[in-house]
Amino acid sequence: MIVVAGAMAADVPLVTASIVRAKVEGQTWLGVHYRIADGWHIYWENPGQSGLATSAKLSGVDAKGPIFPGPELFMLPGGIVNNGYEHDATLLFRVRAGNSVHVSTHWLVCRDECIPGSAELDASLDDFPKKERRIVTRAMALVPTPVAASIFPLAAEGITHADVFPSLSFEAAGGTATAGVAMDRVVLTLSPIDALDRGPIVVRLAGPHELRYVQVFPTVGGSE
Amino acid sequence: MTLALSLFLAVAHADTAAIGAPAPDFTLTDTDGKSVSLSDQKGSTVVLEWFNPGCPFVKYAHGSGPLKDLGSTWSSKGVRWFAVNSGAPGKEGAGLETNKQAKTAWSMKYPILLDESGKVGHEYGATSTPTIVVIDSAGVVRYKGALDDSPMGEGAGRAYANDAITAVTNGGKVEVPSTKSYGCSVKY
Repeated sequence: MIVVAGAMAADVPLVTASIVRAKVEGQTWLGVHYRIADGWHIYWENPGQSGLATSAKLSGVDAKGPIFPGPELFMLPGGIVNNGYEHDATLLFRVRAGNSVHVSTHWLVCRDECIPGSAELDASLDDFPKKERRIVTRAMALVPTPVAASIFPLAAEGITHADVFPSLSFEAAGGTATAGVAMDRVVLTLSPIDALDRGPIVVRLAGPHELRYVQVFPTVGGSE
Repeated sequence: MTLALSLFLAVAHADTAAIGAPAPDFTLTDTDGKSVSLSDQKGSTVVLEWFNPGCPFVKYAHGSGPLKDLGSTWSSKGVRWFAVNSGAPGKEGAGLETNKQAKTAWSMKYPILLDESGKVGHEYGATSTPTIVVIDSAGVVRYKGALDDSPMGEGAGRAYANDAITAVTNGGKVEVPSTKSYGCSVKY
């Protein structure tokens, strides 16, 4: 079930990938779970100014994904911005049908240097261990919730930091966005004003006891 | 957030190499100790290839991927191709000896320019290796971005950089003048 992929010729692999499974409210979820060595990070779907998106492909089942949980921001020397995950991350798939699944996943793991890695994983979806369920539900809680831009400015109760993560389409079309917390409000600044028409952005809302993500679309119902 | 933002803006402001704008001039020294200025290349198409011989994407591209021959082939057709290493001293892939060895190992028939202060890298907004910048014979930036759409050979095989160089040397339009680079961060 658990496959260890040696990313380099070291004793401890930098990234260990495994399949995690859960049935949540009747829906079967599959996660590709990555455990990442301290100080290293792998990448979100938009990796930022360097890096490479983590990829996972499923075969043998009918599934939708990967769904990426919201990322963290990494500032590299020279002011290079990366979007990704440290410690651990889980890419999610909503499984419609099928039982025997094969996962092919590739990642780039970086610290000062970068090392590509990959794993081929197999699992059957007829067993849902509690331990795996915890990992799946934790990842689900970090998946950005779709919202309309009109929710901003947002009451900043418990939120002390807000960071923007542009989607690839938003960024490619030249949109820029910043978010900040001021006067108990989270304020979003877009340039041009209709920049969200080019693609959504993800906003990370964080405080001492809070971490959640929203995916901001121009209007309600523009979500999918 | 404030820190992240200000650093981001610092990079954004320093990046003056916009598509359609004059390429910022520079003078750098290559691994043979020879001084190279962009302003001396006017009249020729220039390609800048951000380079780090320790980066797996660069290793792949030069070892068995598209850069195995691309730069040397275009160089033989009169294109002035330069690898640029903006790594700071002591960082991965930086240093004269390391780059001399890479040039020999990969039979690179064009200069590697050392930009240890990172000044030129910042002026061109280079954030990852490999990143390709194509400058036409009038000194105007015509392409900036990824080598191709296939990191480590995995992709559809669309050769953005080669397509851009082909268009520029033929006096044609660059269909895709800007793409998102992938790869290792430049080791500023």
